[in-house]
Amino acid sequence: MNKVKTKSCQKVLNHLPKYIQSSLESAEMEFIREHLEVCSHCSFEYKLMSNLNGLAVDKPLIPKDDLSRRRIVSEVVAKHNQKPSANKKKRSLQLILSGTVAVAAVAIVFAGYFLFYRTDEDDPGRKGQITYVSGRAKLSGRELKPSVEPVVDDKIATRKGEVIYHLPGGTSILQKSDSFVQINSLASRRTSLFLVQGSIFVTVKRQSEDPLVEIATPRGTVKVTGTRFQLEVVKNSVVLRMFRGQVQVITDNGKFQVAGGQSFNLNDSAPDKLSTRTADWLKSNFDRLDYFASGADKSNLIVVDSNPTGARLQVNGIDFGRTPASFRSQDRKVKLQVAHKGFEPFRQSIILQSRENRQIFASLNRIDTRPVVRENNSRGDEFPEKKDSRKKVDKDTDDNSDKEKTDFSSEKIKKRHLSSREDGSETKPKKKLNEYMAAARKFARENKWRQAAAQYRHILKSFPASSLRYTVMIELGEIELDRLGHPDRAKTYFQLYINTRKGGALLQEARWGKIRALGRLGKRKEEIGALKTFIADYPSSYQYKKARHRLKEIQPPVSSSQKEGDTSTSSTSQKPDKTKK
Amino acid sequence: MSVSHQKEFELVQKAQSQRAAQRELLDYLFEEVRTAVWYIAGGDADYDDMVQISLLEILDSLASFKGKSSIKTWAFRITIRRCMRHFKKRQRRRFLYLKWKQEPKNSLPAVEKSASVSRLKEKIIELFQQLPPERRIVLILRFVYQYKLKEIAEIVDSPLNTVKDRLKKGKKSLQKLMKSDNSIQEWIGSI
Repeated sequence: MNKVKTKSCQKVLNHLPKYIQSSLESAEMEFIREHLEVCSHCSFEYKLMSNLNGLAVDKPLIPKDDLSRRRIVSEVVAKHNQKPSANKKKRSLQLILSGTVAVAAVAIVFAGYFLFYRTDEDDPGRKGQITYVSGRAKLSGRELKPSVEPVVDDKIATRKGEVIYHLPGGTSILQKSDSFVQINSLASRRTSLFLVQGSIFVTVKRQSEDPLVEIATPRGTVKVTGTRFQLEVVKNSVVLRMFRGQVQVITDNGKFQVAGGQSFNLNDSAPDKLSTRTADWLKSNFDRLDYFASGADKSNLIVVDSNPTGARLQVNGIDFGRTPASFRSQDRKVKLQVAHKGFEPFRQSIILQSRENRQIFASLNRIDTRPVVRENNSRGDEFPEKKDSRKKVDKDTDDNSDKEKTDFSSEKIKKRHLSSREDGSETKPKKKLNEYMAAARKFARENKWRQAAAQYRHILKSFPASSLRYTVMIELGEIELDRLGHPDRAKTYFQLYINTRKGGALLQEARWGKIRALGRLGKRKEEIGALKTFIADYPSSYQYKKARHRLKEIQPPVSSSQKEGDTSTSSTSQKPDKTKK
Repeated sequence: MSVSHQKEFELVQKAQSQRAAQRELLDYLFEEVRTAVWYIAGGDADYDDMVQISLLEILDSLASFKGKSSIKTWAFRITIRRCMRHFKKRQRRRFLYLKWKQEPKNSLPAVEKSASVSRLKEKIIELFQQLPPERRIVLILRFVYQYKLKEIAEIVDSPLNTVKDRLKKGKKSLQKLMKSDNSIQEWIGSI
């Protein structure tokens, strides 16, 4: 038999079905039959095909009832009709799954960037690089732990989880408990920090050979040579508050110089003035920073508690927060004061042995309601007796530490009476100016405006030569105007400022205050005059719009009668002169 | 023929929206589909499933039926393709996860022997089940359904040469199987 396929094989194979059904012409049938006899390929195919012929139609092999037709059909129809929703479900599930995977991947990449890449980028390939992570920082929900202990001169933990680093080169950093700082390359000339979150207070010693300190934040870099400032990462921004000195800030917006007394939001394009309150707050923090950075923690632990708790604790004149509190002191002599509102302050001087820990409990006595003589304190320092009974409350915050020698201690007292003063005390003040200021501001913080005003008035009277009195005038004027509702008095103070300090830094405030006071008093004519000059003089001030608005508001009734009853202040006479300028 | 053709087409039109018509259509096509699947995968564990998914596929793609051929032919083609897809998918899965697991040898379920059916046919179909799915399908289309090679290539959606190759290899392995089987040896010897 032929085992090789030929062309005729092709033809035969193609016609096999028809041959089996014998529906071909006789000549072809003959040809195929002959071929099948010689060709083994084709005969196998033919036998197979002829044998299986008819199976597709008859289906004799298939078991009849192996599948229940009815069940399957109904199932399929049901599936077909519910399919879209099932598909949708599946698709949404897939979407959620892929979404989670993508988010997780992004989070991992992000975390990796912060953990590894970012620090590498700051100091590429520097030898001896140290990366330190401290504070209660959490990045992507994961707590970061210190990798290597930094080379710092001193690391001091204060109360409330604050940490103070004393870095080589005289740089000190007070790190708030919620913040997260990486300290890089401490061994090198340049100190580089990365503030990720929270806030830090930084003091850099000014020395020409000092290493440059550079602080990177999420919004920009702060370059420092010698200065004191606070950096805080807030929502979507970073705020720099300069206490002293000058720094260079590099942000996306450009390079800026920020000087002492200014605050700067790193999203902005220009620095702002620092409010006095913020400056005070900065000062107290820097005082504490100095105190601890000088190694004050080294020796003695002192724990202070009081009844009632929550009293203000001051140590050597520095605010240490509320009781119960603990602190460390290197000084052998420590002066404590525990004060609570409505209670007589507790004062004590203690002398400590080396490495001695001490517990102090202050039991505070409630102050009598009637005006009283203050209790004598350990130093026997006496306060001037005051006729005004309101002053009694001031004593709570009095502080007789003489830690800071101010310029005002030896100053001569020139008395300058204001016509509107009702307080006629003539005693020579023994308290320092700063203390009065602090007390006044504390009252202002606690919304005790009357007492704050009394303090300010006292300062004005008792320290007529102090440079602070100008500030006091403005603050007093604002309190009288906005809080106590004495526009006439307020006007007096503003006018006093305008008269005594021509070209002062707060002149704008004073004039604006005066305008407002005049508005309150209903002196339209004067007000309009003042507004016009104000608008002319300060076209770029933030009160400008308000002034324009106010002027529009009151100008139509220009002719309206001016009240004549303003005789209470002597200074009003100068008003027209000013408006003509 | 043309009348039934018309009827079929109307039924398909109805089945695209009405449930009752869908049921009717599936009842009509059921035997055709079941037979095809039985020949292709009669001994397979997924036989039941394959009947179902084939029917489902037919319902889902009713919109693409243009009426160029009879609905039965059309359904048969869809069934073949769907089954092939199923085999491929399963193979991929097996390759990934279950390669270590030997695929169980297929054997047809016990068939009631009727006098008219020769033992030989039964045996041959049984042997078909031991071939790889693609070859099996080509062999069945060729010998049971007696399609031409061109038609087969069209049905299984493969190039003609692939089909030829599969057919050739399928026949070869079938012959081998036959030689090893005592009951068919006689028959094969006569060739």
